[in-house]
Amino acid sequence: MALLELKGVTKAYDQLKVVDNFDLKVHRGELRCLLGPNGAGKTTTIDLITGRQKITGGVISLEGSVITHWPEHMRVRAGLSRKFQVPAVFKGLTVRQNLEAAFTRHTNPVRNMFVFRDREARERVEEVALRVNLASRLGVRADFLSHGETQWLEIGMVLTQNPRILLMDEPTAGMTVQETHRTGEIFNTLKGTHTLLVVEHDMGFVRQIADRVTVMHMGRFLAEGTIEEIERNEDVKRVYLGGGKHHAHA
Amino acid sequence: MSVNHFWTAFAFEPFMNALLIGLSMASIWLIAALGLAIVYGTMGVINMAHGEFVMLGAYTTYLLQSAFGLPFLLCVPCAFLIVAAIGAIIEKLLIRHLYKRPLDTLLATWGLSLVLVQGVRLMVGPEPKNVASPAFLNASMQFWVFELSWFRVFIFGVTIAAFVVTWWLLQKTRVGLMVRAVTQNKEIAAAHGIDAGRVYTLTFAYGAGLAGLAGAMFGAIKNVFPDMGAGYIVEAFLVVVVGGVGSLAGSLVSALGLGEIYSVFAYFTNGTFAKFWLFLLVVIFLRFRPQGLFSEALARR
Amino acid sequence: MSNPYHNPKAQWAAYLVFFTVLACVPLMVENTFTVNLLARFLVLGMLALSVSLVWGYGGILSLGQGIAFGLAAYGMGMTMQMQAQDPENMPIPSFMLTNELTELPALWEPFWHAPTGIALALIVPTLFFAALGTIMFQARVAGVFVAIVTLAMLSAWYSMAFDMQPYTAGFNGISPPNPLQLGGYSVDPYSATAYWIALACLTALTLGLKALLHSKFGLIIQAVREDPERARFLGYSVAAYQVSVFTLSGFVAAVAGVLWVMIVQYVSPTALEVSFSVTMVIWAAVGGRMSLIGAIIGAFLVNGMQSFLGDELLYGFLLVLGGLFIVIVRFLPNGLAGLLESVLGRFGKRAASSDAGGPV
Repeated sequence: MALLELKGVTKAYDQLKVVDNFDLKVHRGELRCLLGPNGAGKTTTIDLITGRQKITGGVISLEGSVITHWPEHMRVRAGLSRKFQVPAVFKGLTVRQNLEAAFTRHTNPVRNMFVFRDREARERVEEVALRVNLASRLGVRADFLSHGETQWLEIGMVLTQNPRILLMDEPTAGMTVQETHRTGEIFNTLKGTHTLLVVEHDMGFVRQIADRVTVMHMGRFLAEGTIEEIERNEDVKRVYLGGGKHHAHA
Repeated sequence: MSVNHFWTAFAFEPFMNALLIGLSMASIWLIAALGLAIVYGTMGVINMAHGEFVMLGAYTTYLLQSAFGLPFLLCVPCAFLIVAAIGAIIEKLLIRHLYKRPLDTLLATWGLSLVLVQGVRLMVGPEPKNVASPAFLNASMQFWVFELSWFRVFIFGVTIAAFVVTWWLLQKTRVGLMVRAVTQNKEIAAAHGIDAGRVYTLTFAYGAGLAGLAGAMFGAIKNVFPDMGAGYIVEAFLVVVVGGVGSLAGSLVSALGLGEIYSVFAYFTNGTFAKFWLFLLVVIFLRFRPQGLFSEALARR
Repeated sequence: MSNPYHNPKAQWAAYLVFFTVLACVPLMVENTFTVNLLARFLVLGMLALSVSLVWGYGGILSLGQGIAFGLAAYGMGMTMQMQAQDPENMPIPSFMLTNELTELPALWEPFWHAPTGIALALIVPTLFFAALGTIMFQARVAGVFVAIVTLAMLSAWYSMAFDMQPYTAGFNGISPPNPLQLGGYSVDPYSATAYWIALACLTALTLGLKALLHSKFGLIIQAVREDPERARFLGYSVAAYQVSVFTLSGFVAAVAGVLWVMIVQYVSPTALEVSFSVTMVIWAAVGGRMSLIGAIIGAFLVNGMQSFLGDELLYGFLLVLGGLFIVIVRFLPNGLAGLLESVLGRFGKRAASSDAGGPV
């Protein structure tokens, strides 16, 4: 059974179908890349999976339970964790506070009124900080971080949650080449133990990390396979890799 | 007041007149809300001093009338222009430094409203003033079961005119196009050579001017006094919120709806209860349509 | 070395010194009117505290804190009024008689029993805040809309209190003839005891809230303030946190309402005036909304200045207050506490980027 499964997922604004009858299966321990030109519906797909946008049709299931209409925070509690395209961190809080907030063993407000020194949280935060290169920046307020560091912080927050599946919307957007490569290394350490669905534009990055790649175009499924297969695929070349009207942007 | 006679029974003629009063109420709330709606819709600024602009409009009328003997009908456009000018100055001095901090603008404009109220109180005095309106507006008319003062009809007419002119300005003129462009996306509009700063100044001045216009008329219905603005501000906000941000048509519909509901509630109970239940109803309405009647929920990122 | 402003030990020490000094005040002040005035300031400080919690930490700009304050004040006023009534000879307050009521309204019945009355004065506003908060935050009403909705509710309650003369004595307000009787004691509003009761409540609430802000809950409400959507996608029910913090702030304001009537022996619709509720926000802004103690000090300063200048200069004072508020919002968004933070930051270390956060 697939960990995450989308069946016939559709999102329409009036006549316009942004995501059109889209199917996807992501298996446990897999790192899947979701590729496609601008406007292909990738971010919308992530929005539908996490419940940020209301779905028009289709079914989404996580480990067999149908989550199509669950509220956002319930999906997160069921094991979906998301990184946004524009990095979303708590800017007025320190890196440590950001990561601690992401440690969500308890989510009940009243319960959390009595949580003060949580050793498990601290250990987890320090472990994750090490993993995303922020161990020396724990006391810094998030709005003082560089753009790349902010991306890492958000990746770290998602990791702190230890979810069943991590949804990463353009995790390397705006990063330098070195930062992108370092991010790829982080992702590669997650393989096998974590399940990831990554939306990306940067082909170099995709080559560095991807097991399997799914390509979307105009809201529809276009192709799926290993990176080599995708790069050879004629359909994909036409709409995406081979130039023409659409361009991949780094 | 006795509890036994709390509920008023239904009777046709008074009830029809209550509906008419609702319409008049709606026109008052709409003209008070129109400027607020434009300023919030375009600039995202909640102007807590809007009621004080209404007050300034009333005082402008009073001063023009008592000091220069200007006829009332001429005072109304003058109130628009003078308060618009004050609005432009305030936008340049204060508001433009607080864009992107909506809560802070709200508070700063509250501070401004304190300054305006106390400033007027110190300069003109706390005692109420009268604005005289022309004799023909003070008469009442009788029409079928309705009984209505010409002044209410006048306000109604001015409100409709102001609404239509505003709509026309926004939809059919070049300036309106610029305003809509800036509303959609300030940065892109600026990249196309639109001076967003000037558009904001103009918008704020226009909103203030509409408040001044409202004040000129309100001053003649009731008295003119320094904190008269406070009496309109909450209702005006609710009209904007219920109508939906940035929707003129929404403001129109919501003013009509709120005015009629208030008036019908007030008919069966009394003004206070009507106000209480109306406000509660608005809160519950927002529970189900937080974006208001006519506005789509905004997406981000 | 980091900024001492963020050092938790230094913070707790500052709180300790602050409340110790406040506790000693009645020992140094002879004049009972001054003691009473200072006790009033304590209560107003408590209101600023509630604003700091809900706005500074929760990011919810509520202009309706006066609802909790006013409802609680009316509850307390009714309680103290009923203490002066006698079931046999004088069963109903005289203002009701002048308003042609012949028997005590059911609404007033529970207030015969003072502990029940005080409990109601605290519980009813708190529940109202919980209900209003639930309605607003489940619908994801946010930002200026919260301000407007709370403002509308406040003005609705104001008109109720003003207009329901037979039940509330309308514009005149309720003035209980005797001080509060508590367990056989009479709490003289002008005594040091009244001051100390108010101070004890203020201290307990402030320290309790400070501890709360250091808990995980405190962290999450700040996270929600910074970015509600991010918090939601970490699995938190944003509405539940917002309702909690809003309700708590309502409770704090309700305690203030109860104490206020104990100290002034009077309640009128002015407690529910819109301008009063916004003024609370001004106090917190002046002192620093992101600092509990700063907000309290802000209330002390503004009110101290107001009573120092006296009534003749009131209009001039309000003019200055409005101007001051504009300046603070424009140039000093974190108030005096923010100023202290940056000054201490300069002493502590030059690197502005190291270390920050923590509730103060």
